[in-house]
Amino acid sequence: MAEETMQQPPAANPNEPSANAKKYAWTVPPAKTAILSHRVERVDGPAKVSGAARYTYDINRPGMLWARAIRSPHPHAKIVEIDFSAAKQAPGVRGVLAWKDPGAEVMYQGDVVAAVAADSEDHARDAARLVKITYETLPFSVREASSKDPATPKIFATGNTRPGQATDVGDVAAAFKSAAHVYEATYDTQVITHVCLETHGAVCEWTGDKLTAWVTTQGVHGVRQQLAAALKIPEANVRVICEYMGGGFGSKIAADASVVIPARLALVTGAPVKMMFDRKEEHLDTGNRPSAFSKVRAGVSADGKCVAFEAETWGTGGAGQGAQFPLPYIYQFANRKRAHLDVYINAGNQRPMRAPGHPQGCFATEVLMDELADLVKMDPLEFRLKNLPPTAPDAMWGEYFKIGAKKFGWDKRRATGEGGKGHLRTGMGVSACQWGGGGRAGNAHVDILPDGSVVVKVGTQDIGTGARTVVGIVAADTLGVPLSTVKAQIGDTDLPFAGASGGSTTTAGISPAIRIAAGRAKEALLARLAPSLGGDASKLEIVNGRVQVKGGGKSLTWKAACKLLGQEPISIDNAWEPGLSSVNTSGVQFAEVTVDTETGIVKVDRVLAIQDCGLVIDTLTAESQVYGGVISSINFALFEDRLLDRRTGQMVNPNMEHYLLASIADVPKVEVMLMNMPERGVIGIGEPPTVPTASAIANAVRNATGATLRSLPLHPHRVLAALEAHKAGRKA
Amino acid sequence: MKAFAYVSPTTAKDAIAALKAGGIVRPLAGGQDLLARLKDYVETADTLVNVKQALDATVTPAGGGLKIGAAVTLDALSTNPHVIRMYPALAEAAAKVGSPQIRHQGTVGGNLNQRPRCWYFRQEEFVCFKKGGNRCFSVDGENQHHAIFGNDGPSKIVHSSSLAVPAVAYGARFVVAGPNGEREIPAAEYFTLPTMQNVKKENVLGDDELLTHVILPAPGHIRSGHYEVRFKESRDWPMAFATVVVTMNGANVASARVVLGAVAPTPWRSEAAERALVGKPLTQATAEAAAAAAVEGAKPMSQNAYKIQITKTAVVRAILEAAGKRA
Amino acid sequence: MLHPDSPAVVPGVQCEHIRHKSMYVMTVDNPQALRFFDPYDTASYWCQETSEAFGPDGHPVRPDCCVGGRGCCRTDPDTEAAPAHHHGQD
Ligand SMILES: Cc1cc2nc3c(=O)[nH]c(=O)nc-3n(C[C@H](O)[C@H](O)[C@H](O)COP(=O)(O)OP(=O)(O)OC[C@H]3O[C@@H](n4cnc5c(N)ncnc54)[C@H](O)[C@@H]3O)c2cc1C
Ligand code: SF4
Repeated sequence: MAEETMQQPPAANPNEPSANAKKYAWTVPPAKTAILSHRVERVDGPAKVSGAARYTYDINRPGMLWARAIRSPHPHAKIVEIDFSAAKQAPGVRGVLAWKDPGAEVMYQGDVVAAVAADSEDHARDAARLVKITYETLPFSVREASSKDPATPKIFATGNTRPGQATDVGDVAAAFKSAAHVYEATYDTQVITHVCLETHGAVCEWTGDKLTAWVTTQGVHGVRQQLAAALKIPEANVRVICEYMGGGFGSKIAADASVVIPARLALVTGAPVKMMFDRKEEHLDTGNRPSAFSKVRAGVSADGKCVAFEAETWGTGGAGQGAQFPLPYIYQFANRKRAHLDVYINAGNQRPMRAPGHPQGCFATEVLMDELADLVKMDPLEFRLKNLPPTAPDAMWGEYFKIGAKKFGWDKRRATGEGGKGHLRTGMGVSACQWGGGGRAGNAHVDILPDGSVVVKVGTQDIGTGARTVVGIVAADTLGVPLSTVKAQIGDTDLPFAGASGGSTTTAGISPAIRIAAGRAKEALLARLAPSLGGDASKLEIVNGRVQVKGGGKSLTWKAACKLLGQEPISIDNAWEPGLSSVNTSGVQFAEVTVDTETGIVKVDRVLAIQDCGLVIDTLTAESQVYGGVISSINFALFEDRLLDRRTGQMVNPNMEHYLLASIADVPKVEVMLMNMPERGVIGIGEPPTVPTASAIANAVRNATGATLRSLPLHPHRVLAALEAHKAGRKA
Repeated sequence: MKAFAYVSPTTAKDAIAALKAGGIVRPLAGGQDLLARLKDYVETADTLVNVKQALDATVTPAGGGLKIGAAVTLDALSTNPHVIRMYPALAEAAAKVGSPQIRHQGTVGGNLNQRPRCWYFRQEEFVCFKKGGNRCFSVDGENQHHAIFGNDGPSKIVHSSSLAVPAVAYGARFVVAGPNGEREIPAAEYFTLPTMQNVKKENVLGDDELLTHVILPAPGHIRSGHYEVRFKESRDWPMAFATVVVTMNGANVASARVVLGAVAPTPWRSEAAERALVGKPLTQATAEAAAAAAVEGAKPMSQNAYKIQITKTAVVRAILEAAGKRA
Repeated sequence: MLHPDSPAVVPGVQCEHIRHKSMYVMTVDNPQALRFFDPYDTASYWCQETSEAFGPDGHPVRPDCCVGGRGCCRTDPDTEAAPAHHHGQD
């Protein structure tokens, strides 16, 4: 089969293709490919559903101990004394560790102070309660407003607030003067936590001076480096394994206390040590998405052009970390000005969470866009089209809005507030998203073994996206063999380096290396087989697991062909090279909701997500990323809210009961349209789909009822308040 | 959780005797509430007495009504054809609880005797009145789910049992057995508003007693309606709900019971709403008048005034359901 | 090295122990792409010495804090790593 090669990416691809990238350019899928871009089920699906897949939580080692952290119950306090004496006498206790020393301060409820290791999980829990820590409590703040208030005494050594990056572009004052309408409103989104189904943790085992750590992580290689640094041992002495993991969403990149504590306790006790956090620890101390407040002034011309933007923004990333976000988001305001303040409160620190900053900036901007559209009496979609950046391969919103409008039935959308007569009102909303997703850190090793096995080794990890399946598809498609022939090995620092799985970079980071390594391996194989098949390697091809002379003639099964390798397998390594992957994606989403105006309950009826990610490797797993993103965003829109008690500073809902998450029945019909752009090469998709759903939902509520929801989550109490304000002609 | 002794008697008599084992002894039914409390160190126990073998797990006809054993699961209750036909509000309340897992495991006795779901009560850190402390954290804390009625006492919880509300509305009686034999308590008198004396309990049951049966009187010609305002479709609690039971005299209401749930430390009977119904036809206008009457005198706390609107909605929709006009 | 989610960390200026996500997540950027929003720093930082978002001195880890003048800060790649921060193990 003559491989039809792709045009190299247009201007939007920054990567000047390498010689190998040209030689092994992607074949146009899916018509011309056996599995690339097809709907391929996860290769490890059966292992996952049958329980055969072993997550860190499932790793048990002979003689293993359990560790348990002791955490501060106070939002801010000084540690006066740590007394381990009672804990050391407790049944089964084998070791203790002070994570912080007396004199140090704890900065939030859940801040780790110490840890114990015992021979069972129950003994460790009971013993942890016997560690007596004396605190001197200190003044605290758990509200952005109070930390921002200049009258509040200094709680944080570096100040209670800190200015973030500011923007000043164009002539804002003049632009506001020229604007036909000037609009002001304040938007805010809440702190939510990652809620990984598998909690943070590790199993650590020393053999002599070598450490093996099974870690639920988004980056085995990064954890190796951090563990070695924390323990002051050579990186060469650390092996990190993560075969399967139950979600990270950005919170599992650092080697935090959940990894370093068991490593240290394993050293102290001379036994393997397992430490897995519980749900409460997860909520308190493994990261969150910062809050975001935006006090906005926007100016728009009579014909619907956004001309001026001015915002004061703030938010909290916890006890010392920032809370910045992009604003305005995507839509072009030629003149704009923004000042941002990071506000510190005594609560767990933020960590990257699925598209850091974007859902927050998207919400404020997209709700504002609907309000502005009404001011100039334009359809919100028309209004958006007017204010988008120019269309480009990495900026397809205009096209997608039009495609989506047709598919979703936007023409049936009624004017704002005319969502019906009774207590059930329906409405539609839209929103857009942007993301990078250009990875570049993946090395691949491909072995073709004489018995016909193909082993592909990549030191990446599967954070739930289906990385193992992607590795297999790229290799199998390139080699021309069935997926079942390829054994993908991932999740181990003994495998060739790959970057951490964050920023939607994994697939774009690993696929080029696999494509080229497999291409080169195929070439090497055909060269070795040529003497037995007519002598000319360039006349050979591999189709559906058969090695054959192009256009008919002699052929061999894959197995028979590989047998001819004798005792010397094909073994090829390749790094990532530019030209087979790219960066920057766009997407839009539509949502339809029903609002019960007598209860304030919002039900999402359906969502349409249109998303590109360059070349789609596996349609099924790519769609899964969109489903997951949409569901997360529905949770952000309606349910999730980290609630801190104003008086004690403690979280009131560190569980999955009062910290609400959609149940299966709360998930609407979600339709996904993947816009395959094979000519751009591979780009990631993990993050963008979780950006726009929440704003589309808020806009749909506004469309249904006329009441504008500028604050998340859309709990009934907020919706009822907004409805009441709308009825009274007030701004909520 | 702290280690405990476990006994599993097979008769009610032995179970009651076992409650006297000494130390802290707790009856264990489905464990959906008790085990979570023990695991979270909200409380500790020295002995658990499994009552699922000892107590009746059947629904039997009695005097034109039904006698429901305390060990009947919520799932069995919600699918029992007699319950569905005679006391549909009770069946519906049971069917809406939590999740299929909780309904298959949880029992009638455990549901009616479950402890509060207040987020302060449920966490070890917050030593509130109910745990021997000297404050209710909700007063100047996060009280969006707390009581809007009956909140003058020390604790501002809402009673968490969904079954308790239709039980009161249908005029159920609870059979309670102790060392000195059995007694019957009207459901409405079983649950107690918190005072400084009784704040550590939500009902009149003694530590040495068990709830053995719920007796539902012959329904006669009642009509009933039940409506729960729920944010999530499952694994969640109602924000407010209502059961309405009426008898008719021609087109007009002859007598009525309106009981509200998730709004007060006990199932909250609204006599004002009942008065607004009696003598009137079951129309939208009557329902709205009764709902307005039902929330008269509500005393919202700093964050839960929204529950007034939600409660009104529950009352209107329960009445319309009783009228056969489902909203 | 440009770290898209934190343009703020410059080797030799900030401490060698400061960490953030983009140090482990290697990306390509498209310098020709239109900007769809203004630059912002969304990174969360931690310290390799403590495995926390606070340094050995208990103060936050941030590019503005983890610079010369702070006792725990190391900026010269030629010096051996400071002795392990003692955690009072038992
Ligand atoms: C996510 C979630 C959602 C929920 N939603 C709802 C809801 O919407 N509505 C609702 O009503 N409930 C709800 N529940 C609570 C659940 O219904 C109760 O926990 C369950 O019914 C308790 O029954 P059990 O048999 O498991 O009781 P157990 O946990 O065994 O016992 C509960 C308490 O009653 C005592 N007890 C048990 N049996 C007896 C007896 N015969 N006599 C005296 N005392 C006894 C026990 O000592 C214990 O203190 C929910 C729970 C969860 C986790
Ligand atoms: S806290 Fe100190 S040691 Fe850690 S990164 Fe910052 S300056 Fe360096």
